[in-house]
Amino acid sequence: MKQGFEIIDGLTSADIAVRIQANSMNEILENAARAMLAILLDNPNDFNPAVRQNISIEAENEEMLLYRFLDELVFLKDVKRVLALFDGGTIENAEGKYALRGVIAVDSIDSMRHRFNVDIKAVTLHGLSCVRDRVGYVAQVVFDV
Amino acid sequence: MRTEGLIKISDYLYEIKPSFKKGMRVPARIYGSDTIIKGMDEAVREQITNVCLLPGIQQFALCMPDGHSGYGFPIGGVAAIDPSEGVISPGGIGFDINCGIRLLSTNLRIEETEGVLSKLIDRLFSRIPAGVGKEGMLALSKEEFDEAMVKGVRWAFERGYAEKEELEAIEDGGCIVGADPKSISSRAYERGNSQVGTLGSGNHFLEIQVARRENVFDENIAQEFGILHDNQIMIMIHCGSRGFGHQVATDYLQKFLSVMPKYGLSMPDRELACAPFNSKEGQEYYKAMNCAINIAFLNRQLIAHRVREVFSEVFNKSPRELGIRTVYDVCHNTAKIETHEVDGRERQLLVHRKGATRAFPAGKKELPARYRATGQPVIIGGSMESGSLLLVGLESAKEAFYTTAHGSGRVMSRSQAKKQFRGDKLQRELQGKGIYIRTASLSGLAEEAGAAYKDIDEVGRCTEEAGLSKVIAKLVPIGNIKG
Repeated sequence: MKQGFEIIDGLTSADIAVRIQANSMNEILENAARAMLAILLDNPNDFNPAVRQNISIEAENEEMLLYRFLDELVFLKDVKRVLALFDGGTIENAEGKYALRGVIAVDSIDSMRHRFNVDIKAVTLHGLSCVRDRVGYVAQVVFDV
Repeated sequence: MRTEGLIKISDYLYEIKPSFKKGMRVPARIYGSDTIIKGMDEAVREQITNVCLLPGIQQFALCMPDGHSGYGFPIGGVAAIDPSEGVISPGGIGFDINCGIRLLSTNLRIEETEGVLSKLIDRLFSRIPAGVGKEGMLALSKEEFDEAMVKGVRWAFERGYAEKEELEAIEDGGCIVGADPKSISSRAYERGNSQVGTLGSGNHFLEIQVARRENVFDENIAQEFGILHDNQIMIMIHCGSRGFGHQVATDYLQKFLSVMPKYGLSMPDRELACAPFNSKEGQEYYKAMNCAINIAFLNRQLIAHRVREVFSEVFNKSPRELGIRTVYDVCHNTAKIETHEVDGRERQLLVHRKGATRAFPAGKKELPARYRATGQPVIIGGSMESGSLLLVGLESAKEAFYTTAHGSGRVMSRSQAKKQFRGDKLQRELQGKGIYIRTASLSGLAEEAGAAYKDIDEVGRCTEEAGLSKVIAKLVPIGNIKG
């Protein structure tokens, strides 16, 4: 799978579904964020991060960790008016809780530099999955646009 | 959708019996012609029969002719729940709470827009925030935003952004009772407060339309709805509660998933997460949903106010001189407590409508005085190429809880549409047909090509033949702005 993600047809007509593959959960988050950027921007290469900031997410399992991570990126887009990519972190699993402590690279939304395809308004639970396979992980997410 | 297993009740109504799936409490009914039904995706059958599992559901789970697959409920899905013993489900309202349409009439004719149409559209495009990352029209303090959540369009009226007569031309007077800002998370507050008065993107639009004589099908009701002369200019606004509603839905879906075991609830689809309406969580979501309904009303009102300003500037006349007046404002994604007759008895029901429009007939006391003799104006939004429909509610829609369709429904995915159409080419082609479009995203425009949607005339005809609503006029676009 080129880039670690692909748009999938057949799951939704009004919105956008993606399949993500990676060797690790960290890489799933990285590829999922890049999938979001590819959906948002006409040209993802227009993303030019100037700042890095911390991100902390907790969830009961890896699937919900992915969901809440992407939900946080949607929130930052709308409230802080930034686009973001995942720049690595640690995921700990203790007492049935997954905790991500990571870094995101952010770029302020600039109408002179960024041409948008569509807006991502929500991460849905529709068809949401994140499971281990023989190689690493495969995930599926549907974005409400 | 394959028609095996669908029982034909009439030429425009099919039923799926409860024996289809274990746990179905009521039958499912799908409205549409054979063509429409066969064109629906299979997921609609699965989703509407899942809706039949909801505790407290009365009579039928319904799917309107424009139905297509959604999250939990199909788009076009309707479920009336007994609030005393049943549940509320965010999937039955949708992420964009109170996505809806406002229709305005004017006393302008199309001839008067010649030479100024592009100026009008360009100015609307520059003055109405649309697209990703755009800041709202107003910057409100927390107290002001809390007040707006409770008052909706009344908040706008108190500050000079609405006319008094407009309040009655909006469902629920533009202010639904039962909103409580304490039910709103800080995340929803932050998303909402940054987007007040924005149009959004995707299938949201602001459109200048014309009502041509040949597209007016009931002159008497059209006149009652404000269409008074040939080639009359109308204005349509389609948008909702923006990130605010989306965050409310996201917050409560997660909350409901976590409490369902406590209430002994289980659904086959996470997007059908629910809670008893009378539970603490159910009531909190209901109050939060009502906040989002009011914010969506406010968003459409602020955009309508800006439309009045722009038209006034371009034509150098006051909005009153231009006859700019709200015809009606309808909701597509809500759950409302309404009174309906079930088995001969009047009952209070919580009617979930997701991508479906309330369509009250003549005589309903909930309607403003001006529409009690005719029935409620209903607006079904079409694509930027096909135009939209103005309809009226009918008594024969009683068994559908007085509900009808809301749009034309997609037949092509966004990625398929982008492969087939180019936004710049589409924009030029439409301009050649006399439709001037400004958009924040040409690739987004390609995804909204007319061919990606069902035939609006067929959808309208189905609602009429099924007795849900009657087509009064078709409004054809001449200008459009999109995010």
